This record gives sequence, C-alpha cells and structure tokens, in this order.
Amino acid sequence: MKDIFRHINKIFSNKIRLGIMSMLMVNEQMDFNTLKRILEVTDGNLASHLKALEKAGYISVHKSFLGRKPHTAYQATDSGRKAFEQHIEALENLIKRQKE
Amino acid sequence: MHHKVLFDMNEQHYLENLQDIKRMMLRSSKFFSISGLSGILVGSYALVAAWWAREIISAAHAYTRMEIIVALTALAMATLVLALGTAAFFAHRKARKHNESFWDPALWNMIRAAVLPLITGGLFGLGLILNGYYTVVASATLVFYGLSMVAAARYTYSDIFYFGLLEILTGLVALFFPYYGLWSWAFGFGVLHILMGIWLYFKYDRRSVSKS
Repeated sequence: MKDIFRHINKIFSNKIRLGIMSMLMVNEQMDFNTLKRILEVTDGNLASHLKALEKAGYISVHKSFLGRKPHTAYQATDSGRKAFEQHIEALENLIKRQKE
Repeated sequence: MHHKVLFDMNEQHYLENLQDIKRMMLRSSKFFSISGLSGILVGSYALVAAWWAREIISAAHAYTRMEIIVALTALAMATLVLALGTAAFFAHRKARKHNESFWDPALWNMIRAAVLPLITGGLFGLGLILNGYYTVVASATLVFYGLSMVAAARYTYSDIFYFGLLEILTGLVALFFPYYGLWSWAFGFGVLHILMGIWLYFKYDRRSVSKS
C-alpha cells in the first residue's frame, strides 16, 4: 500500500504549487505577473509558494531588468520536470487502482 | 465501510488534481480568444477586395503595368491591415468578456509561430509579382498562409490546424488552374474564412455567451 503513494509528492499537494508547476511544464518560462494573473493570488502568497518550489530545486529563478522595471522569470528544472511527471503518473495509477 | 468512503474521497481528490493540471496547462499555453465573428468579417473583406481587384484588372488597358501593380498591392495591404485590426479587436473583446487577459504568453507564442511563414509568403508573393509571375501569386500566398495557420494552431483551437490544411490544399489546387487565381484567392481568403468563422462561432462563442 505504501508503495503506490511513494511518488505522490507532498510539495504538489498544494493547489497553487500544482498550478505553477503545470504551467511551467508547458511554457519554457513564465514571469511573476503572468503567474499571479492566471492563478489569481496575492503577491505574498505566490512568492512563498515559488520559494518552496525553488528550495526543493524544482524551479529556477532568472532576475533581470526590462528598462527600469525588475523582471523575474521562472523555469522548471530537470529534476522538477521529472518529479512532476512521476507525480502525475502516481495520481493516474491511484485512480486506476481504485477503479479496479 | 469507512475504508470505502475514504477511498472514494481520495479518488475524487486525485481526479480534481489531474483536471487542475490539465486546465492550467491549457490555460497558460493556448490562446482561446479568437472570435468566430472576426473570421466572418475578415472573409467578407477578402470577397470585397477580390471583387475590387477584378474591377481594377478589367480596366487594366487604361493604365500602365506599374500602376496596376501598385493599385493591387495597395488594395491587398489595406485588406490585410483591416483584417488584422478586426481580428485583434474581436479577440480583445472576447478576452475581456471572459475576464481573461489579452496579452497572455500564449498569444505571443501564437504570433511568433505564425509570423515567419506569413512574412516569408508576403515577400515571396511580392517577388513573384515584380517578376511577372502573376498566375502563381494566389497559389503561393494561400500555401504560405495555410502553413502559418498550421504553425499557429499549436497555441490555439485545434480547428485552426484543419483550417490551415484547407488553405494549403486550396493553394495547391489553384496551381493547376493558373488563370482562375482571383477565384482561388476569393475562395481561400474569403469563403474559407467565413466558413471557419461560422464554425468557431457555433462551436465555442455562442455556447459561452448563452452560459453567461
């Protein structure tokens, strides 16, 4: 029983972190404001979830300036992609298992 | 019994998770604000432009070759600008109505995918005209336009992919009817746009309007 849950990743149990990772899987990179707009969350809330993903090594942060405005872009790392794929697979397996 | 309830709850939760993932992936990577109405209008402009072009060509004996070329190119450019403006206006309106932002990364991706075959096709067509290969201009512009739609389709409704294929097919068929270039052009840019617009309108727009 324990084994099927092994790849269910605690970090992705939060809806916002799940959303961030989903978007970074299909977009090469995304900036803070776009993520905020689509997820409809506050600055502080989004920042803390991004921090958590960064700490886990699942996303990387690229800071730059567009003119005078600071611009922060986020990208999924290889280990982040792998962990997310395993998470999706685990979810699918669990659903399949329960249907049987 | 308790065990069963717990299981059902979990299944619901995992399914929701998977649906959220899919929704977020689509929402962030595809531009869904293309409006069917703009397709109908753009197609109508093309039909008017084709009729106008026929008028210009039938009066050709009164003008020099260069004058005709300039008049036809100006007509084509004006039609293009009007068409792009209309498409942008309706897309913006649709995005606002659905409380979605217009300048999403998906829109940029779509524009980036479409722009290369589009500009290549435009310059290619111009080169053909300047060299006097009038009979293949319609075919070439239709093929390049179709290619740009196929490329853009990755970032929007998948219907656009099939629309692009039809444009390419029209362009290739037109190659075998060189003296009916204007008719192929009117069919590809006029009739096909109108049909695609009606299709998109009934498949996506109307339903979402009646829902809200």
